[in-house]
Amino acid sequence: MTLEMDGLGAHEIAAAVRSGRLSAVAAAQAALTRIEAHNGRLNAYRQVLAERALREAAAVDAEVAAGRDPGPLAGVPYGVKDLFDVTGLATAAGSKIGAERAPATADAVLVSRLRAAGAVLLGVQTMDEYGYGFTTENAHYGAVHNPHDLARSAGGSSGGSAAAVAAGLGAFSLGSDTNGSIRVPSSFCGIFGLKPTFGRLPRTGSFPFVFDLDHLGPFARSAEDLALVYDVLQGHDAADHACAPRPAEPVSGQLSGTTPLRVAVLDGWFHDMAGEAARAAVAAVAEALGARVSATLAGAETARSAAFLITAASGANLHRANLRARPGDFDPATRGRLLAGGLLPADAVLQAQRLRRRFYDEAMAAFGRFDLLLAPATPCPAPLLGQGSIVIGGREMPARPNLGVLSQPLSAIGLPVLTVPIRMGGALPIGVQLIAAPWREDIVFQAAARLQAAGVTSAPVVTPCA
Amino acid sequence: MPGDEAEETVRVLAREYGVTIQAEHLGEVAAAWRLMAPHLDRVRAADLGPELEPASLFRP
Repeated sequence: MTLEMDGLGAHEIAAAVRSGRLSAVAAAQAALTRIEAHNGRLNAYRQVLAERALREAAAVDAEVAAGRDPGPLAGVPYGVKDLFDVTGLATAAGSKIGAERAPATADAVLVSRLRAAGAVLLGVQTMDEYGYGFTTENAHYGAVHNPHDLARSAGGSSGGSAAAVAAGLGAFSLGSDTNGSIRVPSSFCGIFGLKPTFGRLPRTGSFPFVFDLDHLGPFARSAEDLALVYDVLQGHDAADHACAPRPAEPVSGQLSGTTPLRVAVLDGWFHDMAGEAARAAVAAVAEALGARVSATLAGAETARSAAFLITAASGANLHRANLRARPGDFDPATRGRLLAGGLLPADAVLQAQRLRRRFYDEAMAAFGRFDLLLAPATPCPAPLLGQGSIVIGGREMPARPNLGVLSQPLSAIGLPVLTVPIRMGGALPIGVQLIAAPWREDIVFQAAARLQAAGVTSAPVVTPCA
Repeated sequence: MPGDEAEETVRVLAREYGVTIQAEHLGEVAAAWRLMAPHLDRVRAADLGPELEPASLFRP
């Protein structure tokens, strides 16, 4: 029996494969066919792993045939950002230099967990070089095009991962978020994205950017799918020193929870740096969740600046040897920023670390009064590829480094954030950040599920037009 | 910050910190420095009490 594959979500595919109504090989072939049809226009995948995908899918089908349960993500096709180790591939992390590394000898921990759950890896996805960007315009591997409008950016640095999910080139993706690299592409591509609490998911086997700020997380087209994938990913791994020794705390069974939530809309910086579409999106979410009050997180702008400096210094340190030996092999968009980061005085970076603490305390005081905070994910919808500037708060500023003005303060303090897509009146999508206290991913998921049930948010597959 | 001032700042800092910057990349680094300078000023201007520990504090 065949199923119409286009648009099927992860939980639907898994249920069909586990019940025998759909073979994992058929699901993988359908995904590979769709990639072949559309990846040329999107450039979402840097490298497609058809052989591995079909091999993994065949293994899933063999499990089903033998009467064994292949796992909660049985046969679900997915892709990963180009910074996850995949056995036999050099982990390029969007760079020319990285592509010359020795091939990975093992999958990243999160990729291993997905394989164990029956998911089928389709390939590695295009990103900004070393994660240092918000638009995925990569000098080595090309730009990722937004499925909603091919002339526009898919966001970054996990642009390929988001575009793939939005266009149905896989049911979900894995990305990373240091300053907004899951939330910005989720917003621009109109899909759901989760940046969990810092330390929730192990980063073992992924290429780093900023040790203090790197988070890994999933993209999907529904709250249910996002929850299903997130639950599979959870669990401590001692090899990542930042990974918290917490047990898994599944959220899939809590999506229909009816506990009243105290919700507030963030004002100040999160209002002033948002354009009209962003504010309208937040207003729609606030109304649906019954939020009638606002909350202020004082110091958001300074926290963002703190994250900016920490990122610059960390990136410079990480790439110091190659910046000295072979600067010409870097993407010009990242080279200058990495070199400049190496010029920062140490006391300023330490000051930035202390400012993170201060902003964290401010946020925790707010969570004493509220369960959930709302803010736009990006100041505006997706800009055009190559667009040099955007206007935010009445000021014209460079586009590429400033698309994360609203995401950066929150990742600086490791709060869990789920971005939900909002489309109003046929316009381009834009995301809203659902923000909770540390370790309260259950709250952001419940809110996302409520919004979905109310018809306020959805992420149907987008077929890119020629 | 004007472009030539940024370039001079970058040259001086690179010399002080032993950071190698090729001549053809100086403009890029100066542009990045101009982008970063307001963030540096903002962070430096913050008045923090001694009770505020860094968020990166290591605990064995």
